[in-house]
Amino acid sequence: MLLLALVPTTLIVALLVISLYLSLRTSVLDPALTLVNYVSLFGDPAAVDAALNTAVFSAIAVGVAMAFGVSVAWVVERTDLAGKSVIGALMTVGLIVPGLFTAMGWIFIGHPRIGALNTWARDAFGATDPVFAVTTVPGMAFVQGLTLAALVYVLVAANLRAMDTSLEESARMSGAGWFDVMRRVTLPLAWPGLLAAALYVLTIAVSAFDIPLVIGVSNRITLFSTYVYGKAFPVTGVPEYGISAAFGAFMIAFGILLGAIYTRMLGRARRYQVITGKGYGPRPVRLRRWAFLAWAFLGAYVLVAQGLPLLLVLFESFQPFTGPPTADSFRTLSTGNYGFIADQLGDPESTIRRSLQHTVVLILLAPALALALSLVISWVVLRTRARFRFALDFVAFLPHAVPPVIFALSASATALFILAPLGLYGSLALLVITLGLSQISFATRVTNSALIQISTELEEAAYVAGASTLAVLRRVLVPLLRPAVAFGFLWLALLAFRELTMASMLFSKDNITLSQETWALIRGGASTQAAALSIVQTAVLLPLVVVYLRYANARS
Amino acid sequence: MTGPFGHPLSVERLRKSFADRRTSVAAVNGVSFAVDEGQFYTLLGPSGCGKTTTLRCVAGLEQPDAGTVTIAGRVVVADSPRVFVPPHKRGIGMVFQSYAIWPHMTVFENVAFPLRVTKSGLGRAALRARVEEAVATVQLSGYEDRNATQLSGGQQQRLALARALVGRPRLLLLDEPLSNLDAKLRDRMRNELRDLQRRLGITTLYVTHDQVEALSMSNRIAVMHQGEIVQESTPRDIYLRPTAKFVADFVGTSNFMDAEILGPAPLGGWSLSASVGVLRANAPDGVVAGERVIVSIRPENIRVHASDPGVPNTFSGRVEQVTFLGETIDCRLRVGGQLLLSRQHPSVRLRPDDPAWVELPVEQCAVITETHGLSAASYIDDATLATDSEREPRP
Repeated sequence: MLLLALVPTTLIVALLVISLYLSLRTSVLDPALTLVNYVSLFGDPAAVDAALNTAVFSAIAVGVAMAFGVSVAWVVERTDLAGKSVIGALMTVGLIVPGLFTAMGWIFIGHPRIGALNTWARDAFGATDPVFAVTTVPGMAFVQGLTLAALVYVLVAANLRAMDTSLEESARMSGAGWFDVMRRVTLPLAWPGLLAAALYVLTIAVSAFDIPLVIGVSNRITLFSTYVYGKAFPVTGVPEYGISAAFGAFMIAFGILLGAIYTRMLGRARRYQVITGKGYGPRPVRLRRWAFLAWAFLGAYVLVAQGLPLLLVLFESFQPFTGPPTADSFRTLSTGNYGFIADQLGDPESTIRRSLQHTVVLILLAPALALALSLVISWVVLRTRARFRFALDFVAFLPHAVPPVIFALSASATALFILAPLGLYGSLALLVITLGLSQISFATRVTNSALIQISTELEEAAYVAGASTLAVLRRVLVPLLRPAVAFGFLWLALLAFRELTMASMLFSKDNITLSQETWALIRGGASTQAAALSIVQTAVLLPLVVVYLRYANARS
Repeated sequence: MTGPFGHPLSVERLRKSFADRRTSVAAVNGVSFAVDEGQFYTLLGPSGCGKTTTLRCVAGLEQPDAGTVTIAGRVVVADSPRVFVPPHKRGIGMVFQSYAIWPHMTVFENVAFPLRVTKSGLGRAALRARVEEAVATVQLSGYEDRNATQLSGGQQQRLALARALVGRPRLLLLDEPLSNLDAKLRDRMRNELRDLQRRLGITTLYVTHDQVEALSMSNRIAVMHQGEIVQESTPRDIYLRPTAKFVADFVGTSNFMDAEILGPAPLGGWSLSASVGVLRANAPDGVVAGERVIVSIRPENIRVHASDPGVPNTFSGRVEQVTFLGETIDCRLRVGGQLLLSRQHPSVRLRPDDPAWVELPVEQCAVITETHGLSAASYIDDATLATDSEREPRP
């Protein structure tokens, strides 16, 4: 078991070391180690630009995400608003909606020239300047923030739920009014949890890929991730890994720093939590006539974050060419794009058909790999006294802190230069392994918390009863872990389905996935076909999401 | 009495340390004991004394740093050559503190588990018969198809016992099995468990911090403190004749008096000079005149008289404080500079500041020589104290 746990963690560390090594090399042919890449990184205006853009982008995105996410969490967890469980479900769905999908929707809404919002403003009010231009750093950051708000909601809601409400109640009993309780007790208590949530989404925002790729690249706005992607897949010339890896080194350091602060904050937040299992929820704040305002806010958020992009993608999918919804465009509605996709799916040689097959393999194997490895890691961390067990736990957390684009870059370089004879480069297997490894950071959280809930004595009783390690695993541990693992699997599969970063960085015709194919269609100018393909994907995804939500409800 | 293969369990010089940050803490520090066939043997001590670690080393759930463990004549742990038999090959039954009932199995499947995983070679019908027999032994018949999680605390405890017994082990390990039950149920299960153990005659190693459990159930008790056994004897000896201050203090409540051995007393036993005056007591072999010792006496053994009863070991004193506790009254007495706690029947009328004659009966005064604290059962055998029924288990 120990050795088995060392395999994935060694691979994760190796990938990081290799990315560092890449940053010290100028070319494949020159074995000398040098800091030239770091020097040229600071001399490269495009890199400096990307760094600044990333900073502005991340700050705004986290701000937007926190503003929406925290407000929604507070309304859902702490008020008497009726029907708020629907919001909870919608927010969970928001976690899974592919960034690609949202990005596409927002191009249709907020593109300065063809975006519906801007063309309507032009036609109706004669506005010359775009009302809202999504093709700017703040524009993209706003969209990113809307998608991250769902994640903030999930993190903060869990935190609010676990908070010891007797602390608030005793403040009330001491004579503090609602406002004083909020200011003197609730907020100070919630603060570490809020900060932890902000740090968590910041880690994601700095290495965001989908939205900067779809909205930014065609409009010449480069962020960190798209910079690395551009260097690895240049329009002209040969791929450059060195400078990207040097950029990556800074981002890894930053990510680990964020991760360290995050862990501290989380620890501080947990000190204020109680898990009693008692049914005393906090007394909800009565909204009375403010309820309609709360609904207006929630409705506006859902409409802007999910409704509008979905409607526009749906509308465009029935159009032959991209254009804003106008009276004319309603006459050109056709199901041509869907016919195209149906034809493609019928053709075993078509890219769409193959990308579907690859996606199915990916969403089944990568989560399975991640969870199997995570089970072993969690077992060693929680059930043994191995000296390095805390190191294992830390390494398992690394893929969250390390930008996925760098992780994939390193995997790609490894397959190309170090493990060349294995022929992994550009293969579906490489994509499965890399994504599986990167999912370990989330999967170990699932397996850790599941394993913690199983008393060690249940396993020991089986050993003493005469069961071998294998029998204990098969007859006791696996059956007890099954619900949690199934839950985790479903979630990771949904995330794998929407995954674009690694699919792009490790892209080849042999491992093209549905999200990669959608991006290829957008890049090739066939946006409406891409929209139709997205809608088909969403339709496929929907039953899975319903199953997931049922599962989540049954568990809570 | 030992079986045909030697002791069902013997532990020799067992050591186990745990790494604690940068230091290493010795949880078990050279523990040796042997359990006879059919004996109910208890490791008693406060939390952190090493009793559970010792039990887990016997079970194979911990790997000791050093020492030898022999179960039914088979060496399962040894230093040279290094032997470590994993728990599933030791053929023991164990009941855990949390019962460790597998929630995803029925009562029947829980009990059948040891038979299934050890490839007992039983046919379907034979297996069912064995399981039903075990279930009947603990009076759970009729519950076989219940989900294990639907059982009450007491029923879960019985189920855990059935599961430990179904494989007919030579040795049964019990790790504080009663600590999760409420007080009333604990009393009942204590008697049930003892009766069952005596009826089946199964050799049992029991771990507890509860002196009542230890005293009422065991044939022998080893009191542990800081990883070592400080006294090993029969329950009666442990209670009445503690050889170490820790034992007297931990098991029940005791009064302690510093004393010095004066010499052999003319009427038997020894004469001691204690803080209350000169008294007579039985002392372990090997004490010498001039030796500093501790005299221990239980509160319930102190007699209080209104006038001088004219018996040895009686001292004039005064009642200082009286606390009514319902079943008893606690009375603080002062004899010279020495405070003594005594426990009296509630019918005894005592008031603060009453003069009192305090009798410390000779046979109830235990002399503790800390150097003798580690040698067990070194008192002159007293037929009225150590009855045969405690030493010899029923067949």
